[in-house]
Amino acid sequence: MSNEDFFNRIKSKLSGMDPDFDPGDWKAMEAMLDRKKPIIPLWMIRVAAGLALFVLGYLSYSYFDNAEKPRQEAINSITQKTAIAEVGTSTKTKINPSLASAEKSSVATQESENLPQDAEATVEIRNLPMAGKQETPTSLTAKINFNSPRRKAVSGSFEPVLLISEKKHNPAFSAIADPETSLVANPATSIRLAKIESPILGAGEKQVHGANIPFEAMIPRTSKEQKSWWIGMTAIPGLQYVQNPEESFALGVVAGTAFPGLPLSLEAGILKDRFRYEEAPTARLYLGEKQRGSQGTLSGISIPLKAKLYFRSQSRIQPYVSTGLTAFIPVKEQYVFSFDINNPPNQSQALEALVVRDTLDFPNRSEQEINSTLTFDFNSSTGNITLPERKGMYLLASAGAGMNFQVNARLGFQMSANYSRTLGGMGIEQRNMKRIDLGMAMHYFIN
Amino acid sequence: MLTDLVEGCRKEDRNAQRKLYEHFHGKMLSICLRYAASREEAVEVLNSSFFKVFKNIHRFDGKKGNVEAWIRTIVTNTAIDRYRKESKRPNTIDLDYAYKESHGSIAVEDLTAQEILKLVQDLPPAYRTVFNLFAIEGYSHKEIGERLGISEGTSKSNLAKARKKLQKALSINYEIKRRQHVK
Repeated sequence: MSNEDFFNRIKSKLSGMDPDFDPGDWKAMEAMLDRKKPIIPLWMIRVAAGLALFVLGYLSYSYFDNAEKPRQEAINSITQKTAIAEVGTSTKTKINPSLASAEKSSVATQESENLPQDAEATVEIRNLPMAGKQETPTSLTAKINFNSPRRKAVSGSFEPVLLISEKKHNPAFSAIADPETSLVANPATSIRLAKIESPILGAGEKQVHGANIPFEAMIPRTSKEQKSWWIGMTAIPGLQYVQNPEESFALGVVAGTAFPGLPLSLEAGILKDRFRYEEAPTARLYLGEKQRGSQGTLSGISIPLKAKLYFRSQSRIQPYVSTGLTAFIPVKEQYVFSFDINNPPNQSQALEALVVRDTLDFPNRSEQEINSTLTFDFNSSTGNITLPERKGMYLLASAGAGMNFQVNARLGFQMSANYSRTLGGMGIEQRNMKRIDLGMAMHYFIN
Repeated sequence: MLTDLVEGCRKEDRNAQRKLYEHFHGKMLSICLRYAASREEAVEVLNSSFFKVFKNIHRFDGKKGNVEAWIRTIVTNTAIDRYRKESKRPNTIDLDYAYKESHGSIAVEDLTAQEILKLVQDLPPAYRTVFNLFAIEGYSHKEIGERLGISEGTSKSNLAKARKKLQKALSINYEIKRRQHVK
């Protein structure tokens, strides 16, 4: 007997079933409906948690703000004295340079004894223009930072990534990781013009022109329960050219090749005061069917719009809120790239899933004169990320909050939480996709 | 009549809720029974489904589809969700049936719906869920894989094992009945 026949017989038998109504079933149902709502609704708990976080952030802010004042006062004092000394140096007639140098050096020594290491470096550098032949600074870093109108820096970041997903295919990394492949690398190039302001350190506006070549290596692992883990590392070595800005505008192009995906994006943004606006139409590759070998499918274009608002802060902690809207436009004709000659992919293979990766950015990364940067980035992703329907454009809305915490000139942390979900769009049915991103990043600047 | 009941449910009218529940009780419980291992479990799934129905009835749009199909979808999804939650827990070892070759075709006709349902309920949850989705609901292996978070191959394999076990169980039931009849 064939499978179909066998199943049809069982189906016809079972379809005739109509169990009798048992009043006890309704009683149980009624009890469920009458079950008292929790005394504290879930939304109130969430609001309370948010408030608690805010209060905690404010307390931390106050603490560090107070802790910052003596240090700032010391720096201001030194800066004023330095300015007087600089005037003396340039005119040479009103103030004796050697006296000025001696006076400044003395002040710097006194003040620097009470300052943390990074502030001490600042003092030394500000002494430099009028230090005289006998006084050689021990570091050039701060001078490059604050006194030079044009300066260059080499930067690099290394981002170990640990990602946990309920799905075997994780859409966030499907462009770069094939679960059937043991190791995937994603070299890409980028050329970027960006202007970054420094609301935390108040060091003034800076413009950064940079070229980066990110490399991403991912090692996917699948557990017996069909859960997947990706362990990887992103390395972004690059060159940056920093100068004082004339306009609050940023424009960049990111283009390159990837294995097995091809990321291509155009970025543009406006940075003004505390408001940060980002726009990045992006064409990305997403993997199709699970298959041996490597394969990518160009399935659509995502256009994310994101805005961040940083709260005013003179301390080392800088909280922000963000919101965004991403449009994803599937391409009608899918382009399939196969790297496995013996097993070419089927052109009609469908897209598995998609989530736009929301990367952590660190707006202060390039504000200081940095020779290299170490970044540790941890992301977790949860939620329903499968798209059962794949027609038409859809929108992904997101909202988040976070804070940057600059411990000192070298060490910085960023914490962020972002929630995103799909919205209906262009008359298509709503897609059930939710995503929560929790992020923590640590930056350590090496001079 | 159903439109009035739906309208009543939107207003959280308990009488309308009871009537709607009673109206679809038999059909929906029969679905739950196939996915569950016992009637108690099936009623739990049924009531969880109707809870969702009553709480989300304002989302139902009568112009887009009929209420029975809508409730049926919720019931099926609830049953699948339950399976997915249960499947994360460690299951008991799946002991194979030590039955002889089947008389499947004869046995199906010879057993009552209740007896066949019992055999389906006795299947391991993974096999039972795939069997229901494929043989009864008509999903493809690809769709089943997506819904249950398993591969297409696993779905096919589970279905084959489900059939094998059912055939063996049907065979032994048939044999028992035949012997009782001879006596």
